[in-house]
Amino acid sequence: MPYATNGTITANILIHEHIYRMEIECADIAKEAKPGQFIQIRTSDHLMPLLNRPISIARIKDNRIEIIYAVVGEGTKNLCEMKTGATVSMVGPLGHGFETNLSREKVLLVGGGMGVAPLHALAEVLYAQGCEIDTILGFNRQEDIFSDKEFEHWSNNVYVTTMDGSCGIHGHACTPLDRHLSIYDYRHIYACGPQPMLHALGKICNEHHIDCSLSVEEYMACGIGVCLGCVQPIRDKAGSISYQRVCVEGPVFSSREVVYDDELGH
Amino acid sequence: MTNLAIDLMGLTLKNPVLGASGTYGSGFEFLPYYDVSLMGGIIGKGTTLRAKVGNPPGRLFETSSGLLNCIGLQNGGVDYFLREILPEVRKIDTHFFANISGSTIEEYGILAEKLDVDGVSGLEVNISCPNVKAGGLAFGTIPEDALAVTKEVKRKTSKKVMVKLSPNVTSIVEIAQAVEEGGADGISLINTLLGMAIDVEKQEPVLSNIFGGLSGPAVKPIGLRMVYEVYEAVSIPIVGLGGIVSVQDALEYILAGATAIQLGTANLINPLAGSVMIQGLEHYLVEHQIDDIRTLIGKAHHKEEV
Repeated sequence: MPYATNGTITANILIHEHIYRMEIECADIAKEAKPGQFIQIRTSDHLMPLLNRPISIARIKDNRIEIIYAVVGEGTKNLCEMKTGATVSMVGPLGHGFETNLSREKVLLVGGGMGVAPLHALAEVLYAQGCEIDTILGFNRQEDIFSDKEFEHWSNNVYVTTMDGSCGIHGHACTPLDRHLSIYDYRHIYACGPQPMLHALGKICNEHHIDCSLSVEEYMACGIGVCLGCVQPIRDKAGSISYQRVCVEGPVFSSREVVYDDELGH
Repeated sequence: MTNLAIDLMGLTLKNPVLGASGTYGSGFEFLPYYDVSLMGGIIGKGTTLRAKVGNPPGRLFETSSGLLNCIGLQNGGVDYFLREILPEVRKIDTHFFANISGSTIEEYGILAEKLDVDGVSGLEVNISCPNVKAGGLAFGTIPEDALAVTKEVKRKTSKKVMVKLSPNVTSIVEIAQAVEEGGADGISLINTLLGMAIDVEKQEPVLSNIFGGLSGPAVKPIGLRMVYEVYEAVSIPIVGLGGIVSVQDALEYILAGATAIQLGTANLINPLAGSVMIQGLEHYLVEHQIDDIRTLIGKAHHKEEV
């Protein structure tokens, strides 16, 4: 069950450049949160910015949650200026997160950019359940890389890719996949990142008949399912396509449910 | 003891705070956050005769203290509403108003007839949706059409009927008088203001539908002015909405002539907005030693007469 509640900021640390890690003490949200869910966080006491900001829950620890966010606009700029000890207003946990019912299976996590954030909590849970985890983390440039060391703790192998080739494998997060899929037999692939990456990955998984969960992103207002603003086209089991809410039915969808851009004639 | 209860179109509401169409789901979506039966009433999501898929993504954009949307009336259709949603709505002990939108005058009539059932206290007739091609706003900008839709709905239902007006008109007073003449029991205003935003990187409109409806605090002075104007021109009750977030906003609307108010965008930025508003109004009355909120309705006009 979600709560509209307050939390206390216990850390708000610059990881590097424009990426921050905020830890918030909030027992209500922490005790309910599952990997892949998100919170709506209030960034101002005023009416500008007007909307709360939807941010994925990166880690869940006892009575605290952690978010990792990039400063991209007014809202996230306000967030990064908040001090330890300050009270922050939130709604959450929201959305339908990752299914984590696998134990002792071989799985692959694929994160692109800020999409790496929710994979922390997922890796922690799957690792505790004895899964063998490989991780691919994709970034634009060497300077954008974060959390690669953390994922080494949960993963057998961590592969870093950069779009400009400045570090790790040259290319996007799906670049190493072809080789991987021919070597390893993954039971499930979990991913979060920009839409082009998710769509490329989803199509590869569908072709190889591998179960794949994609956490998608969409411009959001309420986060609780009433405004119908954050929809994506989703295919049901019967094959019919409708707009479903990323905030309620998502943000995690199966790669078989996702409708790909080329199918819509974009 | 202060009184927050009001009479609206012959119905007794616990208080003047309603959840606005398209921002309040069917009410039960807010049950995790507070007891929704505390609300004066709920206006359901816009319902059409047949299911509507809505507009493609690119439905939202935040502006300065405002929100643009072009949802496009995505809903399961009236039969889906009656079968799947209404039973849940009936469990909530407050007035539920179904919001209806037709693409022809006949469709409005069919919707009114289908919704003349237990669990629906009244209808809000949407003649002002800016985001659909057929009907919607078209009926809300021509007085004769607004009158004809109102008459048809009244003819087909035993329920109370309020008509939701668009601010995208030259004279809102003319439209208000037309729906009063058509037999409306009440009027709600304002729906969203037609607006747009452009992405300067892509150099194209942000919204999939190019234009969208602007809501939120940015539109409040416009809605308030329109309620004030309409109050002087009609004798049926007005339900005011448009950018109401704070208790002060709600009081301004009531003083301008609104019998009740609707919270719209406020629900999207705080799921507790309804409950906070009711407590805030009560607090205001106690602080100002006002026994009855009804004494405030239209009070801002009386000053002129002195």
